[in-house]
Amino acid sequence: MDYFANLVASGLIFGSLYGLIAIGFAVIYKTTGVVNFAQGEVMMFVLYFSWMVGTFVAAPLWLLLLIAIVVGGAFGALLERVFIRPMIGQSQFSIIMTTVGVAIVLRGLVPIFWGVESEPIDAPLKSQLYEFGPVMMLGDQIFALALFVAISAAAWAFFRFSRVGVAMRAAAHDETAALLMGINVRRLQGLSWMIASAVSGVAGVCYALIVARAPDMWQIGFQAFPAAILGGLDSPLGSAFGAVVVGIAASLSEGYIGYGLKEISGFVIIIAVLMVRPYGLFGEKELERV
Amino acid sequence: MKALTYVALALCLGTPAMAQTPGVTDTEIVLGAVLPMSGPASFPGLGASAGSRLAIAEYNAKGGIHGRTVRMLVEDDGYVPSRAYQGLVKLADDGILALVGTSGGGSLGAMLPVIDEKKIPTMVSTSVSNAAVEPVRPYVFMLGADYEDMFFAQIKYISENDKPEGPYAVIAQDDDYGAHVEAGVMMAVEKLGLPSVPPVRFKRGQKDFSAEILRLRSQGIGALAVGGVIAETPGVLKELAKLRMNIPTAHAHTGAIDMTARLSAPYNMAYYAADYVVPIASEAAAGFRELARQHLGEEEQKSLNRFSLTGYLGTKAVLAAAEACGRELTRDCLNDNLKKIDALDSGGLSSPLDFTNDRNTAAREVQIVRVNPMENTVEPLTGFVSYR
Repeated sequence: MDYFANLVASGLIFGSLYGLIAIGFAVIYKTTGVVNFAQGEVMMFVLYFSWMVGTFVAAPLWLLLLIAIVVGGAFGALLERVFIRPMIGQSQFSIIMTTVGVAIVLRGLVPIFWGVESEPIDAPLKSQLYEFGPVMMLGDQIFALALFVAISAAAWAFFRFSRVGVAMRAAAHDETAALLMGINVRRLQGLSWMIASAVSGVAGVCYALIVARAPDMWQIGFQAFPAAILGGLDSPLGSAFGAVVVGIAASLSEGYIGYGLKEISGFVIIIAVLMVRPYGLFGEKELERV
Repeated sequence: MKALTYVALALCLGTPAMAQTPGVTDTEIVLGAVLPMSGPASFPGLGASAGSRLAIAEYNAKGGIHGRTVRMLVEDDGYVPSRAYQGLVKLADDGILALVGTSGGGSLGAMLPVIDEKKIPTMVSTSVSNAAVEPVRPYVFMLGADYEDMFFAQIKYISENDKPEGPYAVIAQDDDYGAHVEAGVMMAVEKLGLPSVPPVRFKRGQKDFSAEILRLRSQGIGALAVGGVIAETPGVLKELAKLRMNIPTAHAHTGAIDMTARLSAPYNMAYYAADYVVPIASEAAAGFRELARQHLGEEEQKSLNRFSLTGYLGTKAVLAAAEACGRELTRDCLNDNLKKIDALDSGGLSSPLDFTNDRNTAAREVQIVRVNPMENTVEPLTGFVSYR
């Protein structure tokens, strides 16, 4: 039982990292219908930039997190204004390819500006051990898990109860009707990029805390995207849940079966779920997938 | 006009060897290197390039090689084999005497057909690769101990000094390198009669080792060999620390580099590593660092790492062989003289270089070090020992 509980906890930790990125995928898709394939790279760029600012002001962890949220929001707004808004009216394929282009550019810029060496975040909670019954966790892992839960809950509440969130849902459902109702759809779309990038900034800090700041950290986007598909690309909370499922499935399969299945177990679940629910566990049925 | 023709004819006839040897002119020797100089994997390339440049600068400061100045052309492969192939083709077209930087194992594999076709004298010093010396080629030489030896040495050391109670385990990435690590550990387990558990493999680039270490803990392991490159060392140590598994761990030479130690520091666990060159921050490398201060720019000095030592030694061997050829420098002469090197002074950076063996490989002796990431120290525990 100890073994099972620790495997589940381990799956939860990396699942929460995937989940923070997956929420970013879903927030943008839900509002704009665009799949931002640069989500992992945005996370990396925001983290590196925030780290630079944080180092300049000798920021403790909480301040670094705050900087990442602000930098993320600003960077998301910039991306949307410069690269995405001019593409409105173009085919989905063109817009998606633009995000792929942004991803490649960001991947290239990071080593140029900040070098190739990995760096750890120097925070005391990294080596603090906590025990919950048989389950052992480090302070940085609990920190990431808590942020994931808080952001997932905030994302759900935002779309469920806030006027802006409801307006975003309305714009996503029927853009023309939303425009006729006086909703500034363009501004909402910009806001969705800001939110997604800010959440990516949080993901970046958590990743750097648990693993390290490294120029290959964008690759986590590869794991987060299928998790978002599993949960439902138009459902931020569903995407977060999908990420947790993928993380736990990977951990349990490695723990009980062994090599090879860790990488594919999540995808096996995704294939199985999509065959029954092509729009994901929590996605809306009328979605057109790209 | 007639006089001009005679002069041209005389010049052509007067320098037949130089005209035939790529990369050699009356005043210059050109070496080539294909290394990862950009992207996330540029760490070894930048270091190796700086080391090669240092060896060249050292020779040039003494007046070059028989009056010829040495310079190096570097092509960036970004750790991508197809780019390595293109880079070497370009270097061959530009004209190089020898190749002194060969990137990673995959890139070397992509370059070997060009090396074979053009018979380019090659010094494989960035990473050890069996493909370079199996079969042995008269124009390909290598620097470095096998990964098998590095891990055999560490398991032997652990069994004699730490005497762990539980079985020995190995976790290695699922590629050629991981297979060599696994083979070294299994060879030690077999030869020394040690208990072991089945090897665990992981995907290259994996960051989360929680499930793997949990599984190994459930098997009650007493020592662990980690066949990763850089990020895998702190990744595994983190999980060991979390599960309070204070066991001896063995790592590749990359475990002793500064970046790995820095990433591992939060987990308060010292570990073993093995290498065929001394730690760059050690007293034994003080002379090398001083030499670098004299000859390299500030940026190149910043990029120095253990790959700088291997790049330096490999290039130094090539230049020593070229020097032994005198003014009549040809590729055949270079190869012959490389093969004759049997005790080239490495300045204490490795064992003396000896290419006279059946694998054209020098510096095969291994030194075990103890890395204390909390204090950022690398302490040599043994001298350079042969495990062949």
